Amino acid sequence: MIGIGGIVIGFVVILVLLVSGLHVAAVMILTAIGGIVFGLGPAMLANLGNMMWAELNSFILTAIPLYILMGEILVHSQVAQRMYRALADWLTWLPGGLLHTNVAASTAFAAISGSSVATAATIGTVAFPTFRAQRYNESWVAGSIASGATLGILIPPSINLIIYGAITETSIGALFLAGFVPGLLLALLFMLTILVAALLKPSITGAGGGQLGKDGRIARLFDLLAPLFIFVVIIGGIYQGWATPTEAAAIGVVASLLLALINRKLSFAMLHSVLLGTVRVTAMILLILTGAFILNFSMGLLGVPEQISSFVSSLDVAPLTLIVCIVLFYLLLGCFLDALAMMITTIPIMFPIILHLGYDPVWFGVFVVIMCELALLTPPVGMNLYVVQGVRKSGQLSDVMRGVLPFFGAILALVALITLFPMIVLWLPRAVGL
Amino acid sequence: MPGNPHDTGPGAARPPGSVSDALLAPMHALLRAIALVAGYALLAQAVATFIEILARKLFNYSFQGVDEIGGYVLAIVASFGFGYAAMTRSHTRVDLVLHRVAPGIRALIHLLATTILALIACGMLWYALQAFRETLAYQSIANSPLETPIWIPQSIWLAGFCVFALAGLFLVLRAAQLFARRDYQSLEHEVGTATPEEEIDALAHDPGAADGPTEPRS
Repeated sequence: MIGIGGIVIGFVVILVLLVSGLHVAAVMILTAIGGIVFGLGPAMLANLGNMMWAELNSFILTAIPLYILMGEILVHSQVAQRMYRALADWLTWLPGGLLHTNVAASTAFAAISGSSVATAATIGTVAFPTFRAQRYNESWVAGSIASGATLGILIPPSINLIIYGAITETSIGALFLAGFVPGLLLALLFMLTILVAALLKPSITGAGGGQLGKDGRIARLFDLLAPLFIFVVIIGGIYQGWATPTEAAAIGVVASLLLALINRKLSFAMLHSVLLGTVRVTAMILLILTGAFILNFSMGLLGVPEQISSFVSSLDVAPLTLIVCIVLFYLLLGCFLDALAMMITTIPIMFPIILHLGYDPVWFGVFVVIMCELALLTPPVGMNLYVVQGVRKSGQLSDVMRGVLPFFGAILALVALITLFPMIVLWLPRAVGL
Repeated sequence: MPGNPHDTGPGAARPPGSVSDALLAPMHALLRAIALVAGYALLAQAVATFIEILARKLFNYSFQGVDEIGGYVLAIVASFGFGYAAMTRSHTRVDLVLHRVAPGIRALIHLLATTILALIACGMLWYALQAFRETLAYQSIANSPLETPIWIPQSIWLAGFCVFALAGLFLVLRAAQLFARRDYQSLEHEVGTATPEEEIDALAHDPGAADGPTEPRS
């Protein structure tokens, strides 16, 4: 057993080791082993191999590489370019013009990709050339892409939600359905932000806003059909119960291969690039996840969850105050840690608190993913800032940071909304009985 | 792809002399080939799962065990992928401090981080081996319709950890030799953290670039 002081020291040790630049997975495994050896003796380590086998040999987790594979295939199939063009046809009449297309295209791409960083890189690559001729305010262009892309992990499929589900043993199907409504709501909040800004300060869209040609816009709608089909299969399958998230991912992989074939992008060179990228990212995630499983095991043995729960009840503060504290904690941590690493290292500590407060595990999954979205946007380590700046290849990183600020406010508004009205998150999974 | 310029690495440009120089290109080629096989296994698993769903929905016929094999595929892709991710510097690190210290210190941190990762890889190999020996001793069989003898998937899984440990030890050797030579630039490029630009290249869309950006470039 370990006291609350020991837990705090352990967590600080993890943070210091992480920030010092060691591998995230290595830090988690080392701390876990340290905890087990000092707390209970090295004999407890004997079963580590069987544990690794039991956790990694999992059909449910197979969803992670399959969604990564699907996303990689779609990135290589020019789906994003076509989607962007088709959406631009219908959105540029709004005040804010093409900025809305950035958000809408990110939302659409998020629905077929489980990663925010991949969404930022893809949409950024497609969007920036479109803007170059149009003299939009660069901060707003960069900010709308970096922020819109964070929807990648909230709108299903989401790698982060799968990982959360795996660590906390929460239904991944329920988490996917729970992410859908807040994701759409956030997209609308982003567009509302652009709309208000464009009305208050028309200069952000440059002179005249610039229209793309509308010829053939009906024909271009077909470019939205294929991604829509993939999304409907995934969400429909889970909603109606005829496919698990993993099975839906397999269907998505086959469908995206067909799409690549139709777009004449399928080749061995492309396939090899896709497969190597998938194995690389999968291994990166699974090593951290293995670390998380060992850390979880260690914390369980040491009685950490019970200690935290009793500590929190001894504090005697209102749940809402505690949620505000948790948001501040994540905002601070998100400045220093990679979003995924932050999520995985904090779940073992936060999850017992949340259960203790009486919040739903599915609700907290969505909540923590929104915290990851904020972490992707906070300097100095916010990955989306760097990705967008990298794609942009000109100007200063501070332009992107300034551009993100209004959208940051929109994300915080969403946090407030789902905290005050948890049913925004929960009604869809509840409606299906998940 | 033999002949891919990305696979030769900076070692090829250097006069031969150290073990790690000679091994650099073959190690990258080996890990890449292994990762590609793992990738195809994953693709096959996706297609098999798809066919199983079709058969179940359209013909009301269910193949047994596609999900069970899927679990084995994941474990195997993971253990073999760990080594490839290590060689391509893809395992996540927080580079907040790294960008703010002198090149010599940074190189030392890279060496330290690589050493710890290699130790972890060797430790995982050791515990995986214990699990495998237990499986052999008890002749464990999966509690499933397929009744798979566990040693079959588990031996492939174990081989993946051998590759991970091998890659880890090679990277330590490489980092140590580059550190001794004070070749901090190559060290940064081969065992350091990927820059955002490299991350984007890896995510972006040029099939010709393949997995190049995160592997050493010549």
